[in-house]
Amino acid sequence: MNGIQVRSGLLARSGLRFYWRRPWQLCLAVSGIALGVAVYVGVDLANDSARRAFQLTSDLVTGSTTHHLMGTRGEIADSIYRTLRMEHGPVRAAPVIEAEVRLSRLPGRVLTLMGVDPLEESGFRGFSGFVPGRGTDLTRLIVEPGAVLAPAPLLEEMGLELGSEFGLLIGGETRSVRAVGTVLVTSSADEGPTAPLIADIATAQELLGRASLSRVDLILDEAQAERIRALGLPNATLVPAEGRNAAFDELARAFRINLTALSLLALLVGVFLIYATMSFAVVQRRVTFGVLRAIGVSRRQLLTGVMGEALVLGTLATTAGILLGQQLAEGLVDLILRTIGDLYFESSVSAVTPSPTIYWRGIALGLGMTLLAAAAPALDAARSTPNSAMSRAALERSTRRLALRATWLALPAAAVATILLLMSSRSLVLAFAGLFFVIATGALLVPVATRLLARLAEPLVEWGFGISGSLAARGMAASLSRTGVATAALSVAVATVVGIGLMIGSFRISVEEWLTGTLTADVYVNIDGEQFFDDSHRDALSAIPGVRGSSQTRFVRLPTAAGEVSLRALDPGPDGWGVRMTAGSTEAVARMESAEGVLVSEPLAFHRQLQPGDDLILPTASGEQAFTVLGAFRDYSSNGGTVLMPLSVYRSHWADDGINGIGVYLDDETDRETVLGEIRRVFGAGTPVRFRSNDFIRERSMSIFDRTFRITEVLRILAGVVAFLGLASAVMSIELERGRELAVLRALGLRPRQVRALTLAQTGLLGLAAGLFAIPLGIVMAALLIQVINVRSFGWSMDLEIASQPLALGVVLALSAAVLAGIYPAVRAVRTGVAGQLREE
Amino acid sequence: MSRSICILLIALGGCAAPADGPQPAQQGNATRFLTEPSDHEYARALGSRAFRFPEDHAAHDEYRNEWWYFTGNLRDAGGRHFGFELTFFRYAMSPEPVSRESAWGANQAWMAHLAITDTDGREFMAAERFSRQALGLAGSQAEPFRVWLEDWAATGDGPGFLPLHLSAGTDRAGIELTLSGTKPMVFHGDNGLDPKGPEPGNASYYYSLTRLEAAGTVRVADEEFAVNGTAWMDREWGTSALSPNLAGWDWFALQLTDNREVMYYRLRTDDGETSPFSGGSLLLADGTRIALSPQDVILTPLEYWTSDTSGARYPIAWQLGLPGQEMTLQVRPYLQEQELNLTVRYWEGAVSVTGSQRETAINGDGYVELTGY
Repeated sequence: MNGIQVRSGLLARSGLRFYWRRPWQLCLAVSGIALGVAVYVGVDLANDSARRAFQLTSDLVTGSTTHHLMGTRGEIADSIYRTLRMEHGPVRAAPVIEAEVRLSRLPGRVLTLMGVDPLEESGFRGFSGFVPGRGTDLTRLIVEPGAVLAPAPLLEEMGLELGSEFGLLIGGETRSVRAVGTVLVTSSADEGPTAPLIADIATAQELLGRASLSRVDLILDEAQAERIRALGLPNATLVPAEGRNAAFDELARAFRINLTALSLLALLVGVFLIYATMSFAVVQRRVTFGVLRAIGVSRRQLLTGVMGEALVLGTLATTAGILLGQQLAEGLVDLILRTIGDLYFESSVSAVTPSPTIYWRGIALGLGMTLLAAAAPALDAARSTPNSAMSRAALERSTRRLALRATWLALPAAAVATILLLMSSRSLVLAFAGLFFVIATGALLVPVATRLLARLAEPLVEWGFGISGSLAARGMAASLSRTGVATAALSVAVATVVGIGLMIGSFRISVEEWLTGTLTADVYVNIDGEQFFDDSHRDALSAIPGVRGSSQTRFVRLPTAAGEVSLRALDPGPDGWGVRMTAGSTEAVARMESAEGVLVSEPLAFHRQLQPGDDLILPTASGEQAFTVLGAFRDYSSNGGTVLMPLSVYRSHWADDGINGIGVYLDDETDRETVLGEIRRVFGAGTPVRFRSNDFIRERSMSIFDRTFRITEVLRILAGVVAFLGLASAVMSIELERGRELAVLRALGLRPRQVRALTLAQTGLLGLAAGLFAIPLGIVMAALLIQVINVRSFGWSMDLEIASQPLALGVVLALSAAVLAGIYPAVRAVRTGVAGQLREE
Repeated sequence: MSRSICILLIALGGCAAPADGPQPAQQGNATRFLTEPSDHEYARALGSRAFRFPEDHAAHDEYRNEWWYFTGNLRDAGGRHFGFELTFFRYAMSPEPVSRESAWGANQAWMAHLAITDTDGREFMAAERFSRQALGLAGSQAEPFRVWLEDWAATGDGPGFLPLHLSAGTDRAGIELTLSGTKPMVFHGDNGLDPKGPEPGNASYYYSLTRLEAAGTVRVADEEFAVNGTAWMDREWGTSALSPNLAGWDWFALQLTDNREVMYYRLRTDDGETSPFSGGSLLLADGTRIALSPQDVILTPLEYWTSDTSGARYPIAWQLGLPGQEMTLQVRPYLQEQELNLTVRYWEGAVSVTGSQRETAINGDGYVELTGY
């Protein structure tokens, strides 16, 4: 056995002994790293599953369709489809009818009824999975009136079997249908979301009482598309498939961006957690390394030894973290899919296979960060002379220098962040990168700010806690090597929680204000389907005592070459248009009233880059026509686009007198119930009319809003909890390591009460520092999410509202994590005998 | 015969494959679906029929399947050879029409196949279409005669069935042909009742126009060729099903230069034997029909070809012997690659015929259909 082997054996044994004598230290290190990996992997897995669920759902509805032929009034005549097929050469076209229906057995459930021609579906959607022996007979679907294909889970939920009849609520009537088969997705047979109800096109027309199509789906190359455009089919516009599905895609994208932001933040929390845990585990063994160096262990051996140890630890923890992350993801996926189901339609993706790259990224994160965190202090220990390695003072001196250097690094980081954010006028990726650098800047500033805070706080805590207080303050400033990273990590985690909280709060307030501004009428009356109100309804309403006025709306969807837009033609009521302008002059509304042009919603202005004065081309009854954009108004109702114009302008261009919405304005003193009864009488019982009060719409909208953000809330809380646990463990291990220091203080005469106070004051200060730094960082994050990320994603602007509650919550979270972490070390420091503690080192 | 490319597939297998596009998962072998037992509610070919024209040229909705089958060999002035197949299949989805409110309501489904062989260009193009019989998208009528699926159609000119105009095309190729008659109509089997199995009613009504003069244009890759040639029409309807032990069939329609034609179909059992329900006709120049039973015909494969697309191995060259006539014919494809890889996969292609009868050389053209491989 030669000397080198002896010495490297020594090194390994010293590592083993270190953890053997401090099993809690090992546990904390492993769990810190594991939690970091778990948060990242869990959120990313859930995110990926959600993304795939969206993809499958979207594929099912759109398939490989490249274009849609859409009617100017939301419907397209059978004859246009016939003309297309019979007279215009080889085209691949499939007719589609889509409508929302309700189930009489599950009244709350809205479902899409999709009418298709099964003979034309191949290549369009994945419905061709109807094979013999699997319960579906396509001829029955075509030939039998009322035959539908239902999602299997839906049948199960209704307690029905294949062949059973069930009721659909359509236009106030119950229509009976029979499930002759289930919907299958051939592309991914077992993981498909259960989709809409599928019916033959004839059945769909009969159920819905219409004689037209919703659209024609086409698979075309550019030459064919050009040929069809050139035909100038009456009342039909060819729209690229992405455009038509923009609404769906936008929502899906919005949801994904939300999740991506959270996954990014989870990554950050994970990085900090691992770094804090691992760097501390190495830092505190400096003395041992000094001794080893003194007895002849070479620099290289030391470095290799420490890194090897980190590798073992990292592997163990990463494995645990990935397993934990998977558990986490399962819960999250469930939640995410329920939200998707709420927002879109029944979707029951259970086991979506996630992309394996997430695991690799999790492993890279766990192992990479562990090694990186160990490398810096290990290199430092290896580089220094044995003597200085043993000295903590030397370490603290160098750490202070490092902290200073980190502070200087904050400058370029901030510069990069600024450049990225300025460059990212439309790019979401750049915006996210900018956000990342902003957070990095904040984190880099934390150590130096901690010292500053400790100095400033010293007189205050001394006054409060006596000698323990001033010791704590000085101790915190002096032991940056141990506390700096932990504080930064805690700050970032808390800032995330604060920032997202502020963003959701601001969004909510903006939506509420928008609803209040837009819903000027007291009662809204809408008519479904192909029926319309006419002027006689308005006159009858005006005659009711207690009604002080009414508004009339014609709502249509217009296909345009760049995608579908919603047109709201309004004859406003006594309280005006109810729009809040975000672009354009103050006279824009007045100019619109005098038929000079139209207003567009903010998302439409953003997505199509429309400025006041630009032209917007819309398909009118007499062909395409340009309308001048006078300004943009705030609109959260859709992240597609809405165009607003006076009803009179619509009528002159579209030759359509139909009205499908009436807003009724009541006198303040009127008895609402009586007037409502009168209003109902005007419309009679036979018409499929819906009455909704202002309050109902408001509540309904807010509940949809809250449901949409429920997942964000849950993830935010989750990030908070993991940060809390992880950081508590990091702080606890730091404090436990100070056992000897405390024993010295006790030997010098500090009483147990004072020692306890010292420990708690120190961790409390750390928590307070982190919490306080998190406030500005959180506000900056919220501002970026609102002003940059949201605008880039949806085109929505909103006002930043700095509510006190999320800020206070942040400070409380940081403080309680730190204080909680201090309790055990404080108790332990007093319980252990002074002599024993002193001997321990 | 039963080039009955199982229109059943439409109903059982689902949907059309996109022409020239990716293949559906359950693309299949035609015969598997033909073995499905027929529904007893459909009308059946039970006895001999007093054919009535022009009515019988149009569809018989009460029978389950029906088809109009056109094939032919064409040449331009320079002798460049083309083959074509245009087929309209009707499939009833219910025995009785269903009364529906919607204009889309239908109980008849249609499928059409178009295949064009460009022998010199070594190109083979095949496409298919599907439609329900609604909104005038597909259907048939007796007078003036017309069968169509969208803008693919066979249209009669006037009161009679002939001359007939064929029009069909895709982005890649197309035909515009006028067919006129030179020989009388042929009724196969027992005066047009052609049994497909031992069970009563497992039969079809089957007649042909075995020699039609064709003139018009063939379009291949944006180039049009003025062509002339000879075509063949098969008409068949019934509610028959293949017996369970049948694997497929080999069908020959040969037009000899001496104005005679040979039609023969061999039904193959699972173990490769010839079913006793195989049969055909030898048609003399004056239109006289000599029935052919399996005992009259000796079929020997001469050459095999394996499809790169489907991996199926087809016997594409044959020796067809009629010992009773002292006639031996060699049948060879103009192009090996004439597999229709559509929702239903089969080989159907233009062939050339050489041979002899009692020392006299024989030449001709024809079409061969191979299924169940």
